[in-house]
Amino acid sequence: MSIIELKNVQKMYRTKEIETIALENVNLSIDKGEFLSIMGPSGCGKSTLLNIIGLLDIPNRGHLHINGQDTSQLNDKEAAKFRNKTVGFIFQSFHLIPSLNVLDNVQLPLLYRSGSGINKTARAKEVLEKVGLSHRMKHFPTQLSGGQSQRVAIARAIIGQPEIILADEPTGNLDSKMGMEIIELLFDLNREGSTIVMVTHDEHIAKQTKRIARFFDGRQVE
Amino acid sequence: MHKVYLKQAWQMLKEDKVIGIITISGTALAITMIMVVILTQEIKTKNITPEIYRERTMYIEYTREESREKSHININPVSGRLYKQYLSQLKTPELLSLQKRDQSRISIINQDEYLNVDILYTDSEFWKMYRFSFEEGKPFSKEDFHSGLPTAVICKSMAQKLFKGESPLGKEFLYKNKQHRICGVVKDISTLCDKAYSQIWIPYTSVFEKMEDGHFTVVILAGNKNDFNNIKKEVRESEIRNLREIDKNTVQFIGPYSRRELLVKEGNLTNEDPNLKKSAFRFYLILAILLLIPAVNLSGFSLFRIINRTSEIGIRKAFGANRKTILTQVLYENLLTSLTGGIIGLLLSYFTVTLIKDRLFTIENNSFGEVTIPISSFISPSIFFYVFLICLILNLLSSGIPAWRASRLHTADAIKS
Ligand SMILES: Nc1ncnc2c1ncn2[C@@H]1O[C@H](COP(=O)(O)OP(=O)(O)O)[C@@H](O)[C@H]1O
Ligand SMILES: [Mg+2]
Repeated sequence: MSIIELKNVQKMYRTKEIETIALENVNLSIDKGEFLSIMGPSGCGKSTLLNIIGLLDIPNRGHLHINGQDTSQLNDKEAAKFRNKTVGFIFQSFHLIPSLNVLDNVQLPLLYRSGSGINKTARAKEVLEKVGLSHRMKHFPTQLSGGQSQRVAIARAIIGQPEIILADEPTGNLDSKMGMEIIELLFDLNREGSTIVMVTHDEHIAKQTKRIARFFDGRQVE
Repeated sequence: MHKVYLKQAWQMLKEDKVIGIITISGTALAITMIMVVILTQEIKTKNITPEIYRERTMYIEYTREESREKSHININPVSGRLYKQYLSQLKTPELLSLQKRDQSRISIINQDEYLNVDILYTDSEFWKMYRFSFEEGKPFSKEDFHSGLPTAVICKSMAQKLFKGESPLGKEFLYKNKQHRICGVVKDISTLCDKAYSQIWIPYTSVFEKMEDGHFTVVILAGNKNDFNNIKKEVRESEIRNLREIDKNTVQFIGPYSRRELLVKEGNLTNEDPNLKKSAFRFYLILAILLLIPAVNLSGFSLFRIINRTSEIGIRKAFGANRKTILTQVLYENLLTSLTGGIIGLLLSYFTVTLIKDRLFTIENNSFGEVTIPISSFISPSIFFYVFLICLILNLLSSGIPAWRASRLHTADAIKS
């Protein structure tokens, strides 16, 4: 059974002057444990798609099912809980919180998880170990390089052990060596069972993933 | 969670020093103004040693006598005669006492030097109405009072001036050609306690041949606050009964009034009850205005800070914060600045009140004593409660709308900004 299923999804942005159709009639299903690359030119709706899958945005039409559940029925609190437990986001420009140190940034998802009884700090150290940054826990985001920042972001994305990881051009701001390190990390996570949806411009990277979905002007073309 | 919020709020303050300092000092100044108003009110009405029963004490300071033909009206302090005839038989009060304030000169025998002093003539019940702390000796007794013994209680600084360190007990001073023997020494009383205050207290029986000769303030101690109305009723009944029976004049007592009523009354010499509700309304209105103005100003800063953090709020939502958690967090963080400002403001208000105490608390006659504010008026649970409450309201007013806006931000758009 597919873990993510989009049915006839349409997303339209309306500003005063123009209407932009960011996604048009998208049907996509992604299986558990898959590593899917999403490719396409800038502005074709890749980020919009990821936002919709991660419930950061809602479609104007169509449905999104996660693990068989229709997400359009969720209220604010339930959607927040879903984001907290089921997905982990990785962004192109890292989006760490500048006023928090590495340790607190990584712990962020656990902060919004009620009474899980886990040792948050120990867990954060564990995932930082995994991304190779346990020696930078007390640093603030401005004191980190791009590659380090993205590794912290990955640690944050996986600390809550989500089933789905959504990565929007995770290597877009990194040089190719650092980029490859990040991709390796993602492959590790995929091998451990995470379902990964990744937007990328890099054909070489995309070719290594199990499947590629190509978009053009809001439509899936392949 | 709270620890993390606190830690982060602190971190934010450190990062945004200018905004932080402006917000905190703005809050501090607002709280200072408000707390000066509240402290003044509290000090005027709440119990202060020795006036420990303020809340259940009533006062009659004046009577209004009108001739039957309504040709003339006299307003005077309560004469001993009227007291005896109208008030001495009241059933509801727990205690009744008469007192009269004076300023005069005293001297010690064998010395030509005079001292100007504040004097209070009163009875032996007086000492039960207040809680004086006696350094030496004790108050004059009922027997002393009834026998008209020229005796006196004096305050410590006066004792010091008169007897330069020797024990004043049993020593005498000359007042109105009588030798008054000192029976007790009390700690100096702040003029804030404008009813209990004096430098020397003597039984009025030693000054007036007959009680009927004096004019007094009547102090009435009720068993509790709820008796106030009954006491008033009893006084009114007594007025009517006496009118029918003997008096050629219509006598009305102005009061009895509670301390709060006296404050509101301010020189209005009719026997109508002062409108406490109206004055409370005015008081709260002033507080509201004093709160609203800084709140509007501070909300600008609050909004500015939120806008700066739009992206962060989006990120938090992406990782599981819901609207309520965002709202709570923003309010919580702002509360930290409000409370910091509140504590500074409270300290500043203590300083301000101390600095301008002579203007804030004037008592009718220019007494020789000093306005000293007991520390307990500053450090009381009710004062801390007020500060906390006001910080909370200020916080809600100034960051409520920004926090609400933050919680409604569109997640995906917020992250991008
Ligand atoms: N919040 C928004 N308001 C208006 N238009 C938007 C908004 N977000 C995205 N768009 C538009 O939707 C289209 C798809 O955007 P996006 O999903 O970010 O593309 P991609 O990630 O593939 O570069 C673009 O034309 C973009 O301008
Ligand atoms: Mg994009």
